[in-house]
Amino acid sequence: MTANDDLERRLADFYAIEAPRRAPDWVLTSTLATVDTTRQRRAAIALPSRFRHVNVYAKAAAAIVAVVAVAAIGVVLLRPGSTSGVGQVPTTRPSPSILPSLPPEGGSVAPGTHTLGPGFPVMITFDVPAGWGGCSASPVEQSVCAQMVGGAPGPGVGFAIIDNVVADPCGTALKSPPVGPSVDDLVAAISGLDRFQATAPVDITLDGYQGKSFVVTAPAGTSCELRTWATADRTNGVSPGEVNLVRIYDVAGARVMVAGAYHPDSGGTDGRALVEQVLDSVHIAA
Amino acid sequence: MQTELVDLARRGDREAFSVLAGGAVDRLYAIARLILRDAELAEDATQDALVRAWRDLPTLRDVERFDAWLYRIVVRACADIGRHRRRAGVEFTILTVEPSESDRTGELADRDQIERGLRRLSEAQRTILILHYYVGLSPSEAADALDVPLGTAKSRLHYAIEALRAAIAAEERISVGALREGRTA
Repeated sequence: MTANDDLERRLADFYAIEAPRRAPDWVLTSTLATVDTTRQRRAAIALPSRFRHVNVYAKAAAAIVAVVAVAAIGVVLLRPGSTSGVGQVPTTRPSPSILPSLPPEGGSVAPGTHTLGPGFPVMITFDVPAGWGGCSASPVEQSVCAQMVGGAPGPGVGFAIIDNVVADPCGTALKSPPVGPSVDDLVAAISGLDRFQATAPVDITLDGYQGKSFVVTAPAGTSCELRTWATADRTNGVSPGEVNLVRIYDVAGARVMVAGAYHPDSGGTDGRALVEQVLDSVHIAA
Repeated sequence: MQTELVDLARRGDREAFSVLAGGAVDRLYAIARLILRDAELAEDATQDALVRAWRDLPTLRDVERFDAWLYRIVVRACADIGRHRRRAGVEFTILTVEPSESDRTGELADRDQIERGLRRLSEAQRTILILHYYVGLSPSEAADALDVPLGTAKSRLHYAIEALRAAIAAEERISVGALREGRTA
């Protein structure tokens, strides 16, 4: 046995003897009492890994970001019958409870109307076009995207809760103090991203929820890794020239972002039409 | 079974979380106690870690990694408390009680020697030793729990054990020197 072996054995013996066997009972009791009055963090949505370093695929069609949000967990905020989006006509929708949801691990999804996967704090329904699949799916991360085209990611639509915006798109630091709590605050911060182009925000309503719609285009000629907005978990990255059709809704005080991302250079595919098709099918049930 | 409980707790099921907490509290407390070397602070760290775990559970992506995630939280809770302790200027006196002659060959002396050696290590070094030699985590698992690259965890583990060995050797030299001086005085 080497000297180190002996020392390692002695150390293991030391810990085995020194470590307390039990925590005082009140530690657990007190903890659970605190838990009873502690709310869990919102299920903020982190974008799928394919979007995290999307700049690595510069010039490739990008995808994503976006949506959804929080609300009181009982969720009886259903507001049926409202008009949706810009110029949309209210339609009769099937009950969300009988719709298929995104598969837990992503992957192929049958075309048609789906809900976000289980665990999401807000019930959202949307139509998935043929050839699209779940590109991220967990209780805190939901998005769908077109299949890869020539090795490049296709357009995509994501659902997330956005907490803040980067101070500089070429850096990682977020704004401090953080962006204010309203939809307008968030829209203004995103629209003000240095060297990004943003259209004027338009008022929209979806299922009774007020929001803003605008388009954000990342600068095309840049060598830095571009970042935009951040969930509670991570900061979103975009590729140069990537376009995001952003819709942000106020759902019970929470800002729900639904964003469709595409790249104008994605050969032959009308990315914008694809993401708009999905975006226009989105409904917030609660 | 645990993954089901984690999944339920992640969705807000407090009963499921209470079962998870009940199964983890002793382990977390032991880790906190070994890291902080103070019972009251360890109690605080354990409570803090479990409340953080409840609060942040919805952000846990992989329920299979709940244990490693929990270890990471308790290590962070200890680090936070350690920082607060340092900011508050609270220092712990390192005991310098010399073991008796008869103890020197016994288990007590052996443990005392390890104890003294550990006190010379940084908190980061002590933590990885605890995760590896007490909790039984592999370097890869410890890296996950500490949220550091595997190479960093391996390196930290290597240098921690080397530092401990050096600290013990140094103390042995001092002790032997003191004994010789005592005999020649």
